[in-house]
Amino acid sequence: MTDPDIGSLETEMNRGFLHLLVLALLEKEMYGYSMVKHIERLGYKVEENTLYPLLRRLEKNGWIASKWDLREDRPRKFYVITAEGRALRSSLLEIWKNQNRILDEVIKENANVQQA
Amino acid sequence: MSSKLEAYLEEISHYLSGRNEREEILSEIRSHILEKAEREFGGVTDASLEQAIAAYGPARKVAERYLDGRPIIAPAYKRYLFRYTTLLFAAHSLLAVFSVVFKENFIVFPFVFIPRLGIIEVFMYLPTAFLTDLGIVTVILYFITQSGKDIKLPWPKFAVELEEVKPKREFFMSRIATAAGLIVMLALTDGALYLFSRYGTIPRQPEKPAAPFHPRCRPAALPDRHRLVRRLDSRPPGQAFHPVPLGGRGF
Repeated sequence: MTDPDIGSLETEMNRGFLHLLVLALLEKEMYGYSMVKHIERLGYKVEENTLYPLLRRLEKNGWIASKWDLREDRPRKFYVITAEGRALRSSLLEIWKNQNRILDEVIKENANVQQA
Repeated sequence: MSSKLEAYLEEISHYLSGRNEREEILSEIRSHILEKAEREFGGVTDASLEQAIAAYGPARKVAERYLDGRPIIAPAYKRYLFRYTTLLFAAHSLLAVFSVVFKENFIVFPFVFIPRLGIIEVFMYLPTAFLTDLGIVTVILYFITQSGKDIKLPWPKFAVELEEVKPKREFFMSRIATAAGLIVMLALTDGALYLFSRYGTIPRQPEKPAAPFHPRCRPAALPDRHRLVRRLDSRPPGQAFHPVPLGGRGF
């Protein structure tokens, strides 16, 4: 059997996960670099050049809001979730939980079949 | 200090051109790269910026992530591109053949003008006609795609759909058939080329063998070409050449 090319499939899976992850993280104000580092500490890696366009799209749809902070030596763009974003997040979480439940059940079914 | 960074941002900007939020996007990338260089590569220097830029990725790839990926022609309409072009080109070719046979111009307003063509001109005209047809169909499908509406286009069927034909996979026979087809096509092409070179065009009826000279034109009255050449060569330098009426008297 050939080694499956997991790269493109992983990218597809990550797309939805990243949306959810960002919406979850932005419960408190964060800027791009701090998000990248935070996600890294959690044991996941997000490419910088993927994160910023994603933030931009979420902002365009009104799910997150942004403002520039010019107080420190370097201007930073901070993002935070909006009310619409929270509503979206809970819907997405429901979907994700349901998907997990289905997968768990199928895996259990398979285990039973193998035992029988 | 940050000329490399500015050059990098300029390159991204080049690919983003035309977008309103360009400055905002670039400011955010600048801020990120400066912070990354400082925290991860030991301060803002040319070397650290270079590392941070390399980690961020090639400019074009970065810019592409910001562009929405609406295709020029939606995937659902792609197969129409070739089908419609084929039909249009078939009609176009037919009109081109008519223009040869009937010796007329054809105008299909507003796109197609087919001038009165000779046989050889048709072969030069058809590739251009094909590109025109492809262009027309592409433009129509482009506007349909950009409109974002679900427009159901008619799907004209040919006599036999290619997908419906299930050829047996007999490689040996198919090779022989391909070779035979190739020989027939070559023979046709060569035959046509022979006719063109022999007659200049396809003869309508067998021509009578032409008489070598017109009956009233006596060979004795023709000028001697060699004498004409000598005459031209012997004219004084700088003097314009005035052609002498043919007829032999002047020589």
